[in-house]
Amino acid sequence: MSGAQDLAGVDRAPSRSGVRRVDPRRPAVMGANGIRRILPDADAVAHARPEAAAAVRVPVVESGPRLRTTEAPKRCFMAVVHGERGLLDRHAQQTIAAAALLADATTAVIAVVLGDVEEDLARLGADQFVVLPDCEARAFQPDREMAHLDALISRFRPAHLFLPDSEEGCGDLGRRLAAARGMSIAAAVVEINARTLTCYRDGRTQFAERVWTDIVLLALDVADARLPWVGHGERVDVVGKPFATRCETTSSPSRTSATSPASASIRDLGCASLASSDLSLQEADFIVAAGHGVRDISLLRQLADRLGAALGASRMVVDDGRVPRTRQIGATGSTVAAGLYIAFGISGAVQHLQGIKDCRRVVAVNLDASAPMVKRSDLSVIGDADAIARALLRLVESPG
Amino acid sequence: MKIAVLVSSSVHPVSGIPRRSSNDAAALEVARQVPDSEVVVLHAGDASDAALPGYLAAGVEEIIVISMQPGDDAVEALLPCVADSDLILSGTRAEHGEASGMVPYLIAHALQRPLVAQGLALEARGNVVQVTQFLPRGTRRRIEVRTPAVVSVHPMAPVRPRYAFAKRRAGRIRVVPGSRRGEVPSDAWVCRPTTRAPHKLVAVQDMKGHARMLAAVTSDTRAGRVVNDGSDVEKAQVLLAYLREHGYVDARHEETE
Repeated sequence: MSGAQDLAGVDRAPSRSGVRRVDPRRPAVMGANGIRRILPDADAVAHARPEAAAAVRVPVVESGPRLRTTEAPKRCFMAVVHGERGLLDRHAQQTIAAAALLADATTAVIAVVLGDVEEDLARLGADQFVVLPDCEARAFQPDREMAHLDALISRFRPAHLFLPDSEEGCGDLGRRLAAARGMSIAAAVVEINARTLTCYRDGRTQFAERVWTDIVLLALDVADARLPWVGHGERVDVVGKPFATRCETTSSPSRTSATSPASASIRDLGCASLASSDLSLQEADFIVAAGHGVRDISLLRQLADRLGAALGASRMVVDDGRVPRTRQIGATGSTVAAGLYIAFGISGAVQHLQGIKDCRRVVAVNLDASAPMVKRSDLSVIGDADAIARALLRLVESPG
Repeated sequence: MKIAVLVSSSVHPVSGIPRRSSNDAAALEVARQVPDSEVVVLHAGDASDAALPGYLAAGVEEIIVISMQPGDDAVEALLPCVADSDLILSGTRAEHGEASGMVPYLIAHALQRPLVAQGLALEARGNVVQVTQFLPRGTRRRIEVRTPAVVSVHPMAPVRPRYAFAKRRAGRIRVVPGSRRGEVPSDAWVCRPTTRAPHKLVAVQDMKGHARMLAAVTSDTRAGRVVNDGSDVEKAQVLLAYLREHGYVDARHEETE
């Protein structure tokens, strides 16, 4: 009956059967974010002119992440973490993110990185950050770190200090600061909200809760480091400021005794890394792992020894009996937190990826470019694991 | 060399039976292995604590208990007893009670002594002690410290504390009245039994529906560089360059290159 009308494109008219039909090709606008939006009123744009379409266009989402706050800061929180080889570990990232999550609109977050950092600290919510490259975690220099922190505290006057309660040195530094300055401290905080913090007590049988202390040492996994917004991320340079020179002089004996009489009698004899064979996988910083794609395990063991890495293996290899069970990485084996993990011939089952979720850099050597391990890796080399391992061993062993 | 070892009491996490803290027992064993050492074991608290004979079982003849009321400051109570010792050893953290790990720090600060935390082994030569310090990921640091000093011992110290029942029966616990000076303000903390897991601090995600859907269906994998071309040697060179870039190939190699 009204077929002619339908063909004219009036899609709101009921069809012959009485069911209202929608034309899938009716006018729509493509938004800047790539989403096709069907316009609410088809009649209004039935004879769409460009200016009419512009008038009804949905507000374009501005590109780039949103800032946490744009208000002028009245106070600040300070997060102090160690950086190692330019990277922050998960614990350090979570500490900065926790400070940002707890800060209100008029609170700035200042991240202090002892050591080196290449990461984008704005992504972790830091509004300002200070890098102190002379305070590496490997050197034992609590006095220098304390002097730096003292200067930063008197400069920024943070309301609270957040540190990871880690064995890298931040747990030690926070406790030293609390003892020396008489600041209140809460260690191994497992839960924190805008007003109070909670620690375990008496083993894990009790929660002890109190209002925030001056220094908060956060346990691992207190906060999620994924943030929907970013901080300002301005780098604050401290070189040339008066305290920088003061820190330089702390290494001379006369000034050391002036700042802390105790430190004069300490000498750092340097670090040594354990031999890879002595090292448990959980503790290793560098792991070379063998999967089913590796036929020659002895070659890989040789490579691991030569690189000073610990040898790990996937379940397949361990089940074959080619590598002992203690070397298995994954859900049934051990969970590792290496700085660098090289997977030779491992496709990356979920159970295996779960075991390496704390590894900071992952390299995959695999024949299959679509393997899950390749998606997880920072660098993937597609090829035969044995051949590449042999070539790498030859390169490492050749003196030129 | 006079070594004071500070020990705490602990309970078994499952059965709740009092026992010695394994970390403090490790500290005691580290102290006992120092040659020509005079080890004094100190505990601030209740002398009738059923955990204390566990330390006697490790082979010490006597434990000195500085009697203390529940609200008293353990550090204040311990200070007069440890002031004359060359070396003060303790575990890193207690297993029971507040377990903030602050005791060695407060004692070191009060006595103005150097502190080395996370010690694994001691090597004494005259009045100089070499401490091997635990650092994560297989790193060990050696620190030389002149006595008097404070060392807190890491739980992974490579010692095996003994447990001899005869020694436990033979040893004795001597009670020393503590000075009732400091008092810890205890009202700051409110305790309640753990009935749930701690809540994690997570950002409120105010995403639109489409973005939420995208986040749910795509995992946040950050796929890195993929090297597909070249011979095996070229691919190995890419790997080596990556190792060198991040400092995982030793310096000796970089010099020869």
